[in-house]
Amino acid sequence: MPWEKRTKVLTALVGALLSTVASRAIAATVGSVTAVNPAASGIAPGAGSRSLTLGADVVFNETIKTSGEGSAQLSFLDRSTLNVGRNSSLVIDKFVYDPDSGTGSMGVNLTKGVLRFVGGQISHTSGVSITTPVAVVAVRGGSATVGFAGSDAQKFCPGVLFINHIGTLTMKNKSGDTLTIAKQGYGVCVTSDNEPFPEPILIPDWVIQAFLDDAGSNGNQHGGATDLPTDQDATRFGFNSPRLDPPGSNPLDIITIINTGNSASGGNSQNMETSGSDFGPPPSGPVSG
Amino acid sequence: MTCFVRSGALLGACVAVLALCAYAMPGARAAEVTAADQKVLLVKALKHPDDYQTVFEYVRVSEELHDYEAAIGALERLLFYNPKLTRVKYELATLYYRSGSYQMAVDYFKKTLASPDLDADTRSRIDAYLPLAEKENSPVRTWLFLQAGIRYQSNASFTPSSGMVLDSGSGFPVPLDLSQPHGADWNAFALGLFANDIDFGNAPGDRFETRVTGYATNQFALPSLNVGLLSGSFGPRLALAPITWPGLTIKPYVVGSAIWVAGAPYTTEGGGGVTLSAPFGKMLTITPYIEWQRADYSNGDPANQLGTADMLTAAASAALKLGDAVTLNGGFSYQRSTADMPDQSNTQYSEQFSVAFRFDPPFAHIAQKWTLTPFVGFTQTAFDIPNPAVDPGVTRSDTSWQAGVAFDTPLTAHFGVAGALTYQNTASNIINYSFDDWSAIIGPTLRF
Repeated sequence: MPWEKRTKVLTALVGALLSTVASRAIAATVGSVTAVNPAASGIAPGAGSRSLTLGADVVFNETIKTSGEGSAQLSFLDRSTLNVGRNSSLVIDKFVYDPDSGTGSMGVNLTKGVLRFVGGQISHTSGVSITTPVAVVAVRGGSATVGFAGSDAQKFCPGVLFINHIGTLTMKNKSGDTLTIAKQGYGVCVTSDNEPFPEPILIPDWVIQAFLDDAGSNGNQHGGATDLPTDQDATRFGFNSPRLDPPGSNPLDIITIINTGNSASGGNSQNMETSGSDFGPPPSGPVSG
Repeated sequence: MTCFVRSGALLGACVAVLALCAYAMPGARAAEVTAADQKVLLVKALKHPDDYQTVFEYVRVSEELHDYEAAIGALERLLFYNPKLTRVKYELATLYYRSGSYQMAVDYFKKTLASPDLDADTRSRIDAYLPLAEKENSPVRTWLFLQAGIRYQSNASFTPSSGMVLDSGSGFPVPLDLSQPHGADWNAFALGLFANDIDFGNAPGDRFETRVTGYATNQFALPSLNVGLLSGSFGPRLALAPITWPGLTIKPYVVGSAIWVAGAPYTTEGGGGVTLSAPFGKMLTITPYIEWQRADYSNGDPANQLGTADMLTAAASAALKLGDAVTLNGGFSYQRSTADMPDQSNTQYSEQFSVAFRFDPPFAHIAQKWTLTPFVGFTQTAFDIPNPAVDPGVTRSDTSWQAGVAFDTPLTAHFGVAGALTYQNTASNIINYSFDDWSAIIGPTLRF
């Protein structure tokens, strides 16, 4: 190769390399890859595609893609997490977070596949928006699954399914229609961006299960970890099957009922002692619980 | 007024003592000592996501801060690494349950049950919790609490402590008529609490609530003090601002009750009210209400209308969770009774305070936590004018306080034992109404 030509090629390579380095250097880190099953890749603005690895930074405006076997979990500085399912493509197109004030905004654009969002600080203040081809949904204070149904779940929803797990979902579409889902476990299947939203329904367990399986590891995958966590680790760190409170059990409810009975029997008794007649007003009411 | 001030000071002292006890519980102080740690652990966990000690510590700190979502995200990450983690699936189920996401809780409980290495104690807990989660996830939900037991009272008839009453003729104190029922007694009692919620199936999660309470006693020695009570309320609970203030609800309701004494009708009440439930963050919920009821003591006999009144109640209660182990409850109410007989009209103020301590039972196979609840309360009642039939020269004024401790000890998913020890003291400026009473109840419980 002539010297001049070699110089041009070298210059181009160095330029491309510098450009990549520069664009990655100025790209703001918004979180990191905390689990990844191949193949999953990231494309930062102005950079080439890279395979996602455990602990790698996720930068603003990065496109995340997964293959038919791939899945990932991204964790963000505001404590939120995003599980990306198989055959998915999304962009973190907005992330502003001030850890001191605990405020910020976050946006995700899902064009393909499934995501499961579990909220952090931002979703508890201004809300997180997830854009899909059929609607934009604001997730406030909680957890949601959004996605194009896979082969099984497609029988249930041929479009994009939005499921509220914790908190509130507020949806809008091009027709100007809005819908708020505050009930956990409820969701809607949306097939068009230009028609009113259908009424939310309780999503069947098997559909949720299908989506969860899609956004996790299958039996042979380990999310990029080599030394796997064990139940013994969980026990060692104090996770020993905690108990829950019994339902509807305020013991003072019983005291309140008994006090009401006291009012009646005591009032009647005191009146008889005072006047010798049956029935009279209650005494000053015993303290209710 | 002096009594009011004095009882207020006493209430303050009791509140301070109970609050100090609550503060002394380890679970209550967790939020304070770990709030800053979460940020440090997050940064570390993001950089080294497979540093499991850091991840578990982050989960523990997040749970103690009631930041269940942060804990959920981190635990689901561990399932990415090892989908067979039985304890992590169980932990996720309980976190979703406590977050009100019952469908996810059901899913993780079922996954945990399917784990081949599940231990017997965890299995028994899931056997208790899974039906509860499935019920909560259902559009129609019914709960039933039943208790039967025995009760002892040192002064079942609320007889004046002095043993004297005012003679309605002379106005002078005279010894009690001992032919009237009085003194200590035991009774057998049964009570039931029924609750039913029906979802409207709409997006905000509105529902229709029905509550029914029943209570009956059978005195061993003083049958004239037997009581029967049936009360109920129903109304829709509606989300007020699901987007800007999730959890804020309003409930207009209809309420009514009937009481029998010694097998004969004593009073019927009916009316309506409106209540709000306003959560402030994950720890504090305030519930104010205003209610009107007509209380009818006439029992069909026009001569016996002494207490018949319109009653207007304005009240508010608050529940503050201090960690998972301690909940502070407080309440205040104002009630104005405008009676048909002017000498029965009165104004009443009540304040209550309690601390619920929840703790693990001593046996691993018992699925649910036990609860110990010390409580105190005060009631001040001031009548408008003297009652000429009792003492035409004195307007009755009572100050009543009550203190005690209640316990609730579930033994299986449905069966348990509950009870309470209570002391009540009422001081009145008319000797007829000054009394005290010790009360102890205990009995088996059933929950469905």
